[in-house]
Amino acid sequence: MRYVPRLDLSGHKSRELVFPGDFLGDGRPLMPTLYAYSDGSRTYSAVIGIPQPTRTVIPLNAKYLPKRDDIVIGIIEDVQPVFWLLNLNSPYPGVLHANETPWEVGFGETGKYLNIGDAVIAKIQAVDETRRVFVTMKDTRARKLTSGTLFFFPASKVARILGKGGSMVSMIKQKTGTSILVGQNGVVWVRGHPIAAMIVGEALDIISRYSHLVGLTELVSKYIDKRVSELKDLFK
Amino acid sequence: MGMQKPPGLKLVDENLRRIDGRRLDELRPIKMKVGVLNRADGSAYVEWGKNKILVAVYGPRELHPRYMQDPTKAVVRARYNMAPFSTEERVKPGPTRRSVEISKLIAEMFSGIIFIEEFPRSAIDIFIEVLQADAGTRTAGITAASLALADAGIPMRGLVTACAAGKIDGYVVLDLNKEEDNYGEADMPMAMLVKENRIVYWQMDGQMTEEEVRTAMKMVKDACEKIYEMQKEALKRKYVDLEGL
Amino acid sequence: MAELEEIIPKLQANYVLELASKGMRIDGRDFDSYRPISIEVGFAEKAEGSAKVSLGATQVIVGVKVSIGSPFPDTPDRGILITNAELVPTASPTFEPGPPNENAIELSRIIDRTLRESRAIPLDKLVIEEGKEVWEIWIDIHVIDYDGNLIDASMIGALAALLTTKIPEDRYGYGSEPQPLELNCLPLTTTFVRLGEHLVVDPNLIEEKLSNVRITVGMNEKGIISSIQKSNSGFIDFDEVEKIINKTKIKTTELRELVLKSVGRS
Repeated sequence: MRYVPRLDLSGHKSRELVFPGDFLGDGRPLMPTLYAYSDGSRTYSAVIGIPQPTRTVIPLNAKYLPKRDDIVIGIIEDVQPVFWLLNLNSPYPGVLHANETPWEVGFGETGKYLNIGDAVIAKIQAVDETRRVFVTMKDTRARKLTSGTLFFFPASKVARILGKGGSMVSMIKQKTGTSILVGQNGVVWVRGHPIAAMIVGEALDIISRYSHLVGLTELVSKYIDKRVSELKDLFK
Repeated sequence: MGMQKPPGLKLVDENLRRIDGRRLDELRPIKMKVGVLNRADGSAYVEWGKNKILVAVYGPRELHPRYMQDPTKAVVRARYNMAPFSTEERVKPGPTRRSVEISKLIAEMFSGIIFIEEFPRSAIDIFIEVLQADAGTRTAGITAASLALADAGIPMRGLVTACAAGKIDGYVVLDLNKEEDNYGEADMPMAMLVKENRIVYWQMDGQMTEEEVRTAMKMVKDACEKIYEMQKEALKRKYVDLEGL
Repeated sequence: MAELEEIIPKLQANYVLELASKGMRIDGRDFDSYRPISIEVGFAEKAEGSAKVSLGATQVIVGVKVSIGSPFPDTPDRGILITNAELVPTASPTFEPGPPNENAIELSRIIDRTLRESRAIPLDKLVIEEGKEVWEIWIDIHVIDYDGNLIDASMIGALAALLTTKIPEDRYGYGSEPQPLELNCLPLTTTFVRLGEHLVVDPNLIEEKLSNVRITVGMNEKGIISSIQKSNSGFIDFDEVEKIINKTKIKTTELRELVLKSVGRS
């Protein structure tokens, strides 16, 4: 846990928000969603979030629910003879079978490749109706992460961390000289100078806390400039 | 309920005012704050008269042990607990029969309001800590728990609002405080989904006529409408006004 | 209260050590700084004394309840002090409801020892009738939010609560009004963990989980040490003892200032 210092939020406003039970519109949601519900002909919000014209809601605080083809960063939390169990920053863990890796893993050799606490980039292969999740590393983007550090956020913050067309995360990378990878499950991998990574973590905390503010990019940009200047002596 | 009243103590005076000066249908002062804990997925704190209630929500999250998982929906669990320093006489730590009953009813209530089928095999845990008690702790706890669940982003039909009414000195009154609860004739906590006019929690303890129950229910419903607006305001203060963020 | 495992990813562990090699910690502090502290006395109005403390993101409420009871048979001329801690499930996804586990018990015993052995509370002055009736001081530590260093947060809370505790003589007919509890001294603790080769004070959650040794020293304003506790599987280098004692003196002095200010006595 880091502290997010009290920022000067004057001039920054929240987007329009709805709360659980608030009326969204006549008619049903135009897309399947678990964040809005309808009783016959009227639709209501089920969460705190930003209402959409499709009578759905973008939740502010939702946990990650694994979806097929998502690219995620998972942490090994259990090692079994033919599979590993991954913490996906979700109520649901992922099963990574030994066959679903780029390596030749013999029976009982799983521990030679991945151990508890290791982090990997993986793809969600399948999710069944009880939300049992199977992941795979047979994808060009998948690999074990061996350097850098990780920060954890609710998955609903991923869109704001990326920004429109990737603008937010690009700005952060450029100002701090770091490499950043954002998993769909809200796990963010950062590599660079440790002090730069620390500043990235603080910036991400600000985005997570104030995700529904208008003008967030500007707020974050100013914050990073200030911190980089404050800590420049440590960048050796 | 039913404690021996000190001789001469009038709970309602000739101007229909109670010992703390309130009218028969008046609520105690209520303050609410959303998002007061750092580790919990959602949290809220309510001061209601002299009550101080803290609620934390964790979930949906993995449910262990595995045999307790339900493959079709989330299991909602609630724990109502009183801190040792919450009352004049120290409360020995640990569950009591009363706290177990309250916990059961609260878990059952929220199971019907949260969209639990969206989260099979998981748990949603609601922890209600009474830090200071002065009667009406369960209704204050339910009101705070709704805020904590919303703060945690758990999809549900709407906010649950709770309040109690009772009977003291023969009068039906709203929101009993501790003395009124000790020396009164009946206590009736109730919770509703205000927007839908649905009752989701209801208990009564004591002696009331049918008419008195009807009067009490109307009193609580009107109060819940006011308290619901306070809940919305509390959510707005955190999220729209960015208070404390 | 049972506790579940919280797995710290290896990358985070390495990162903490990397930052430490640059003299910094993941929350931007240096090795000798405490996180921001706030103390609110009188939070639990039905308690005879209380304090709500936040130490960074850790939050603890300490309540002091005073009642009358029989003394222990082997100390008929002393009042009773009992310290209890609850790791409330609100505080962490890893805290489960249930009776106190070894961590809760250790926490309460460290606080108790620091107070008892320094004679901070004048138990000899808490006798009503020797052998028959004495005052009982119940200290209840209620951990509501856990981000590391419950010991120092609880000690700060306990001291602030005790400084504002009033013996309820009026309630039991032994006096016309409550009497302030007069403390003999003001002990506090400083807790350290080691990150790599560096000893740091006031560990946050990740630092606590990653470190393999934790040490707490309890000291009063006269420099008297009334408790020492080393936990976990690692070791303290003999040459570090001097540094630990010196830092404890400096830090407990600073913390004492904060506590006294919070109760209006500076």
